[in-house]
Amino acid sequence: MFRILIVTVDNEPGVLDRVSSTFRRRGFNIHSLTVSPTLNPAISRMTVVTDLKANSSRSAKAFLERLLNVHSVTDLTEMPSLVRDVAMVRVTATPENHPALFQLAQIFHAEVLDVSPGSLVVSVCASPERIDAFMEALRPYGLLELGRSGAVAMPRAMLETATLPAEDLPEAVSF
Amino acid sequence: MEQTGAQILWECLQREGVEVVFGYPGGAILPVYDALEQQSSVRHVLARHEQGAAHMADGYARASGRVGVVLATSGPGATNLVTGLATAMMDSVPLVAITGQVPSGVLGSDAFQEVDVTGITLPITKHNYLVQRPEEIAPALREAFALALSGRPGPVLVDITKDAQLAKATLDWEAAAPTRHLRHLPPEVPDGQLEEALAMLGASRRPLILAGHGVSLSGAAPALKAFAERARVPVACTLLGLDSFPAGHPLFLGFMGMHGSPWTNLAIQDADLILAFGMRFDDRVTGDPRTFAPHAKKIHVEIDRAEVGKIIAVDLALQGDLRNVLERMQPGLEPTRSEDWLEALERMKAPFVRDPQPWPPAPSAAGMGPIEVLRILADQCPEAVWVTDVGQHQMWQAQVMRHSRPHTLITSGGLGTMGFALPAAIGAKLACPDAEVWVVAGDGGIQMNSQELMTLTQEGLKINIAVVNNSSLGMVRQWQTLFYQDRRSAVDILSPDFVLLAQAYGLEGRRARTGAEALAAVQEARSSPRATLIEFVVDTEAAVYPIIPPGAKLEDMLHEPSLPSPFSR
Repeated sequence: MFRILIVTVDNEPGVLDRVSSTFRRRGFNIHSLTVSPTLNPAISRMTVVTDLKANSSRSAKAFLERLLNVHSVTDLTEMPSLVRDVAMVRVTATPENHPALFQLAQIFHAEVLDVSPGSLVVSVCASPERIDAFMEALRPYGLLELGRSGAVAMPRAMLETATLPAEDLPEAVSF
Repeated sequence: MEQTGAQILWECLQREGVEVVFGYPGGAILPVYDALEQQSSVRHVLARHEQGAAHMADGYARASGRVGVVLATSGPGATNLVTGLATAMMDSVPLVAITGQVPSGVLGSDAFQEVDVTGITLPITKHNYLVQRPEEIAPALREAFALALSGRPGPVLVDITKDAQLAKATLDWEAAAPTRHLRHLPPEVPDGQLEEALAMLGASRRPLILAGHGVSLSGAAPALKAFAERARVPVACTLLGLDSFPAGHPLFLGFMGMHGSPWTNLAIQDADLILAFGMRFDDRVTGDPRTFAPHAKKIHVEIDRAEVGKIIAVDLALQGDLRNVLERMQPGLEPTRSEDWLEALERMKAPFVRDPQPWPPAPSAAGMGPIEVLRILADQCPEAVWVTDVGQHQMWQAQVMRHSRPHTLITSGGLGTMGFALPAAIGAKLACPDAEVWVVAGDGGIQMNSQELMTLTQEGLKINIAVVNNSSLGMVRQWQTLFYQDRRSAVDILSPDFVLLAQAYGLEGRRARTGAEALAAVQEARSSPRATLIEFVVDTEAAVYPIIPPGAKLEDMLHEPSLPSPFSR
């Protein structure tokens, strides 16, 4: 089962390296990873999709929280959340099957971005499962190329730590 | 007042209270060395190899409880630190490594002596920095010192480009105060969890404490002693925990794990409650983790959350500072009903420690036996700081030596770094100039960093060195014998004439082939004002027993085959 971790980190060079190195070194596989800005310019947000088991996910969270640059790690799998992925697909197309492809695109709320001789490019923004279903629907026509953004996710309820700036984090005790 | 980045660096080190740094100069760190001569409060120790410098800083940190500092140039200087940083990372030793880097304008161009040291050291440091402007030096260094010591200690590396060392800036010490190191420090363990632990202890009849390196790292040795005495709980120690509880104490059970004492390992398997204090269930301790302490509930007190449940599932995890936890539990402690258990442990131990034969037994040897040598050292120098290398002698020392106070055993436990002892002892001696410091090394390990003998002489240090020479890479040979049908491969090692080698480096050199010679050599070395290296020529075939084969159960230990029952089981 895929698990989705939201990792908020300092917006600094090299942080992606530290996070991905932690996954590599501990033998955790990354299915997709996106990095994006947040409302706080000092903080970046990573959405990591992994195929960890629950106990490995706790372990991954602990290893990530060893990193100085990591603010918080949240496993979204256990809470109601929203997930979106963007796919661009190049599919074989002939003038004869254009109507069918356009109709499929409409059903999946996809957009036809380009029509070329022999192929067209459609893009869709949806949940990963829905994109997979769209791909299956397109497969009989002949898939030529696929690009996917990787998941971006958010819990339905507000995630406190993900949006707080560093200085507002709860004070830790020093020994 | 404007200063160069290099001057800012030295002022920061002084303000951090640094008294000594270990290093080796080179092109990209030249401005820092230029500024070194303009200041007078920090002593620089010139190593003969950057690996040696890193281990010196490590030994200094372990002996003093303070941050060790190592300085190196870019490229090969920096890569030579790698083994030292990994050693410190595995054993949670607070280090700050400062490396020079090529000028920022040529970074990434494969310039002369350029290497991506922050990339290389990423998995073997708690954190590292690439500093390219003089204004960034103080914030990076202050955070590095804070981070090295906070939570679970460890090494931090600060890589500074040459132009940042040369350019000028104004040091703003206050503005550089660190805060980020506090991010993931756990809050104080809640009272409720302490009560839960006390309740589990109260219900236990066969409790056992496993004491690890965390005890001395958190300054918890007195708290541990008070805890064990009040609760009447015996204490077993990991290698790095051996100096955290007095070996002469009636509740001291002994060394556990692969080469631990049989009754200690059997106690783990019989216990109904394990109190794991600042230890991480290393495979050398647990054997097969699926069969480890099968009857015990487990309480893990550990500052690093990533260690909790990593190897062994526990029933209660108290994530926090060990000393804080033990001191807060103390008022609620009652003596556990462990009397039968303590008696049972005595019965378990008795057959292995038959008068006049102390533990570990010294089997008959061809020539002098290594255990005999270590026993002479232990008897003659009970208060010494012991810095051991890696291999058979390290395990024999752990079995024989009876430590009475913290910071008297310095050894590479997690990484098992051969060549560690000599340079680490130089650091330890500088941290504790009044202490008697002994190196114990094998003939293999001493040859890995023997160049540091010259550092020892140049610094005028009185350290004694025991080379236990069995003309063999003994631990490897032992494994080949036991686990590879005695097919011996690349274990016969020739050594230089150690007496002449010592003399060439400006030390006194001695050789001992018998017990009487060994005793005389140790006594002469102790009374001599000069550093002395003693070569103890010992039985080539001696092996470390008992041994739990890797991955086996703790109760499946193998004993010295020539010994009578109960060893031969």
